[in-house]
Amino acid sequence: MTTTFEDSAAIENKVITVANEMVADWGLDLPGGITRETKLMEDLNFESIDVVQFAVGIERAFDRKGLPFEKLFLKDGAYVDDLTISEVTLFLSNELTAA
Amino acid sequence: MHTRDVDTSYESYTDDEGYISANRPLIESIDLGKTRVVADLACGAGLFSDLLLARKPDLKICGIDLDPEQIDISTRKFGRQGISLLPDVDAWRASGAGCMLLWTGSADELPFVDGEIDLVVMGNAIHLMPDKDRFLLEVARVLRPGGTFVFNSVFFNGTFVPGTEVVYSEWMKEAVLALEVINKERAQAGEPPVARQRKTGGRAFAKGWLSEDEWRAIAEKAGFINVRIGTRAEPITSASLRLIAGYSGLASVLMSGYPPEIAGVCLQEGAERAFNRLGISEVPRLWLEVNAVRP
Repeated sequence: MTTTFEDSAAIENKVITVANEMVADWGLDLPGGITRETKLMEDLNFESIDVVQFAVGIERAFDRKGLPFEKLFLKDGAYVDDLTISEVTLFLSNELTAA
Repeated sequence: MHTRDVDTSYESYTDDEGYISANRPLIESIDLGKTRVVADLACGAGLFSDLLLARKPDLKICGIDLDPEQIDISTRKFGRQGISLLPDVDAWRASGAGCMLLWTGSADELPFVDGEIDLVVMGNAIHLMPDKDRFLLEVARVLRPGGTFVFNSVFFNGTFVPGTEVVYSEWMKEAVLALEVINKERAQAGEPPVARQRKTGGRAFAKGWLSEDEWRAIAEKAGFINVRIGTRAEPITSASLRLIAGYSGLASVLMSGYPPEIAGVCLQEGAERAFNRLGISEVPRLWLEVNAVRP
């Protein structure tokens, strides 16, 4: 099954909503707000526990427990340097479609 | 969940039989034939020294750790064993075999003269060194020609046995859910949620872990030869993970900004939940083991 553009857009909106809720009171300077190009570490200053809380927030938003975020966080046995909102969206598109 | 029940020290973990078993093969593999003087860097509660002394009781060892609490623990431990403990480097240097110095300090600036150490060991701590190139040069400086540097670490790129990564991500997610339970309980009691101080943990995933190839490259760059690097899988049991999960040093990294005693409780609870949910009692993890010689 192929993910449609609308599916991806809806997923991206939910991901951005979760991210916005997380950083609401962090006092970040984000001209233009959170977009698909926003980087979790570089732009939102995520620490490791923020990444986990973000993952939990996404599972709750999509009502899906046990999403394999390790596939997103680790490449060839090493942790990734950063992640964009669009990479999270693509990961979710694949995982939600595969279910 | 009660924070008073969590043991936030590292001592209980290093006394854990599973942890000792994971480290023993490395120490058993060292040729101690010509070894008389040993530096045990980031010695913690003294596990490596203990294993070495069990093999060769007349070794002269200097254990060094940044944390005075760890030095206190190891001082009590080796004092109980009747080992002669010396007060400073000069006294230690002047003494004969079978004595120890336990010294609070940085492994980056070793209190030894050039070439006075036969064997340098470092147990599961080298990943924490901020400047690994500089550190390896310092180790090479204090080793005599033909001296050996032996270390291991469970924090390197490639440490996860393929297929087991899910255990760690589920563990952390369950720890966050455990924190939410605590906050709900606090809300019901009319208390504020657990406070978090942001910007204490650094950038996510910036762990400074190296791969086997990278470790080989920087060891050789520092002048070491005969660099032997291997990995070995050892199981982490649910009980072991609960022990290390309570350690405040780990809790303050994995759940940065939260009070370590509360983070420790959440990580312990998360470990139990994750193991139960995945239906496992242990997870294998690879240890990196390195043996290198100063020419």
